[in-house]
Amino acid sequence: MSRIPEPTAVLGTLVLAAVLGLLGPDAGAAQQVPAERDDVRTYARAEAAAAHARIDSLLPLLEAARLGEAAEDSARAARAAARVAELDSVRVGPFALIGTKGRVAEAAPAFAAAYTRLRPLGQSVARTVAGRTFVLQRGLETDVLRTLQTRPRTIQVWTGFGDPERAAASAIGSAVASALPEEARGWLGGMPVAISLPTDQWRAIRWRLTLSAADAAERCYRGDPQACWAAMSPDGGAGWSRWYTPEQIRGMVSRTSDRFGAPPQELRRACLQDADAAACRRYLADSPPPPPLDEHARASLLAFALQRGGAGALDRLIAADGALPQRLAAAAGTGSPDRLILDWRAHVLEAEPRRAASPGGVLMLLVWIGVLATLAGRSTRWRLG
Amino acid sequence: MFQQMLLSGWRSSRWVLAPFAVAALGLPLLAMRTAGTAAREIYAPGQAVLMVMEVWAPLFPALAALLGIAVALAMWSWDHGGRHVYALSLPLPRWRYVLMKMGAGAALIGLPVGLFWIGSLMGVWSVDLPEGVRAYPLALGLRFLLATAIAYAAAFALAAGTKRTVTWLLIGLLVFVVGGSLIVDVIQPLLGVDGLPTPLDLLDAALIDWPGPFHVFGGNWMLVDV
Amino acid sequence: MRNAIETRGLSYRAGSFELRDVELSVPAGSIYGFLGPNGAGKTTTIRLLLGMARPAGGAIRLLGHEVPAELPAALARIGYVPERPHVYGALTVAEAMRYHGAFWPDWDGAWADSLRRRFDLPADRRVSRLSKGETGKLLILLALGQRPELLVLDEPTDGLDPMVRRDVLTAVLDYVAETGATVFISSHLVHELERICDWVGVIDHGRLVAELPIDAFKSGVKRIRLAGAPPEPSDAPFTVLSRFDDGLATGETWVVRGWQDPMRQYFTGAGATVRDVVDLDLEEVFVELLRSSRHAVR
Repeated sequence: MSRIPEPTAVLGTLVLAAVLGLLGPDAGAAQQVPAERDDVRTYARAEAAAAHARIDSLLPLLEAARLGEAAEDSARAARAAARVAELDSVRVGPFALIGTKGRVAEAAPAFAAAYTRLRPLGQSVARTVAGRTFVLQRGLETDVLRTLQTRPRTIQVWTGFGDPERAAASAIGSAVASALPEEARGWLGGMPVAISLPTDQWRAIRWRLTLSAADAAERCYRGDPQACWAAMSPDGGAGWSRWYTPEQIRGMVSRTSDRFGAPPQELRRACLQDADAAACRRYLADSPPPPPLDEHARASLLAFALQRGGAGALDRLIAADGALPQRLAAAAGTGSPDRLILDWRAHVLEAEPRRAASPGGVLMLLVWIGVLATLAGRSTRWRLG
Repeated sequence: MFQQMLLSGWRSSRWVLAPFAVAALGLPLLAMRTAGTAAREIYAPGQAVLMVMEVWAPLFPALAALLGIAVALAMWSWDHGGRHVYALSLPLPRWRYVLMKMGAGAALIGLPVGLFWIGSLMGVWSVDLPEGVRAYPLALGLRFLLATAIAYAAAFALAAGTKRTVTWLLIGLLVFVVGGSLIVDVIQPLLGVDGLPTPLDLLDAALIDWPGPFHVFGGNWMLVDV
Repeated sequence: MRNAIETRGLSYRAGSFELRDVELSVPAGSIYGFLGPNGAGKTTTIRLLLGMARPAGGAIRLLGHEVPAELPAALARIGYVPERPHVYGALTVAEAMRYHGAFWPDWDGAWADSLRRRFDLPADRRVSRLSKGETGKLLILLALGQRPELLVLDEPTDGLDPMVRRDVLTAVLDYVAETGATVFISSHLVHELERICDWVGVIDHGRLVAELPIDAFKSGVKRIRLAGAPPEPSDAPFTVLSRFDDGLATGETWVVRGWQDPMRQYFTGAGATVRDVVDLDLEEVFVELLRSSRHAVR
């Protein structure tokens, strides 16, 4: 293979050449700027022509550098393609996994288990993941990854860190989310479809629901289903203020500090001192507060509805008519969206954080105290020699 | 015999117990007092209260650990001072003497633990918490008791040993941590792997994670929570 | 039970110090003086007897109990006064008596209190605030209050003034006279033990040099002044502990053990004359014995 110069070096040389060419001896030998206007025009035209000529002379070099870079890319791609051929792949149900040998062997059972749990939700699950390839990214070089992404069949990139079962469920769930109607996809905010969530996530959602500063979340906590649906909406747009009472909005304004680019202080004064609700809203318009319940909470509601609905739940959601609450109720197999959201609320409130040590924990501590007492009791009496 | 052991334990440890008793009573009271101030916030009072609690929460396990260690050392102080001659001349087996002393010390730490409970209850009763958050004085008190007990037991067992035993233990620990770290640093590049557990990771897993002896220190120490 | 304390082949090593093959036999009911210079191993031996130090070899029996297998049973019948006070200093005298008494089944609180009054010890004073003499009396009080069958006293009168020493020893003797208890008392104050002991054991550099009744210990050792050319002692009918020139060029002075008067013939037969035979006191005997023992070792 012929030696191709590094494109960056070539381009740098070209830039330097262009600069030197424009500022070189020729430029030094340029005519003095004449005083008369006609002479200035003539001078400018001559200078422009000289510049064009130099650029035209540089074009072949530029072309050579581009070709060299393309050739370098091709060589890199060829090497990456060769390494791809060394990777391991396995078919799991209707989809495939590809990655390094160890990772594929480790991930295959997790993917199989995750798919088995999601498949009963409906045909849409199988349809969505059929023909996909999940790339187990960990341990792969960037070039190899890029090569895999250019393959004609759909590819889902998965990082492969952490708990394999959780990650597999997330990867498949993300793929399944693409089957959702657009409104539902937007509402879900990029979260994967799941049928169950770990306890610590329910606890986090409970924490958020309980402590949210929004009036909508507070009323949801107290059991108002309409407030729950309001708190679940992803984006208030200009209507974010409906989540909060005027007092809460004023409280938010009072907690903001003077910063660069802040709204005019007259608005802040009108809000805090004159209790002008409109001024408060305008003050926060550029940086409105986030929704009371985030995408994790919304994903948990979807998971709750799917689990409640059982077999075919996802298909029913997709096939249903109406707004999102009606779709979710259809998925759950209940006629009432309010009933669904209240049941979800009750489930969230059950996810209390761990308090005192569990009975098992207490027992283990007593065992350890016994062990330590035994060690202490066996302390030697031969201490004086 | 145990009564005399308790009395002598009290005499040897009372000046150690006193400041801890004050701290045990006062810490939860102070925590709730500051929580009460946060509870009056207009915006997100629940979050404000929990933020305050998160500041105070690490002090509770620290107090439990220090209390257990201090009482254990105080219980052995008189014997260490006299080179254990008196204890060794008593007409009872060594193990019985040690267990009686351990029991006496355990009974004595009940005083500051009880005061901790009282302080938590008093603090909770004196504050109106916002909706959504609740106080857990009994649960926290139980955790405090368990943490103090295990810290006391561990320190007591260590203090029951000879200087030679403790010295070898510390040397062994040092060699394990320092030497093990060096070995891991050398092995990882040789084998071309990363993420091998370090000695500190192993110690953490053995001692602090479940079911290690100190797992209670890693739990929920919030006096007020959702 | 013949012997209150018995050891067979007792040995111990710590650093450069070594106790070798100590064979003690302390008759029950005797007052046994355990003599030795500083650093000879007296306290070490006592610690070994009481199970506070681990022997390298040998067997120990106290009041018929094997040590350390039956140590608690043995200690329940033994009153011990250590070389340095071991009672908790922060307790008052009364508290120390109550604490001590809780551990011994035969503790006689009333008698201990009478001893406290006899020793004039204030009940409410902290042990750490007692004088040296008062502390010594307290230790004896605690040991006697247990009503022990065996008293093990490690230099109990060391550093005490004569009056306190007398009080302490009188209390011990009174107790022994009343109960027939055995006393094992170590000291380097030989003259003090001479008055009270009926058995003597001498230890030097970790070896038991002598163990016999005190009368035999004293009576058989004489200082003999000779005139004329002395014989070689290789075939003497007695043990020569030491011999030295008297500095007057008239003869030698011999210190011998096992002397009897008819043995003068030994010298006259060799052409020397016995000018004088002098009795030695216990301290002199002790010194000569040690000197002889060290010379033999060299």
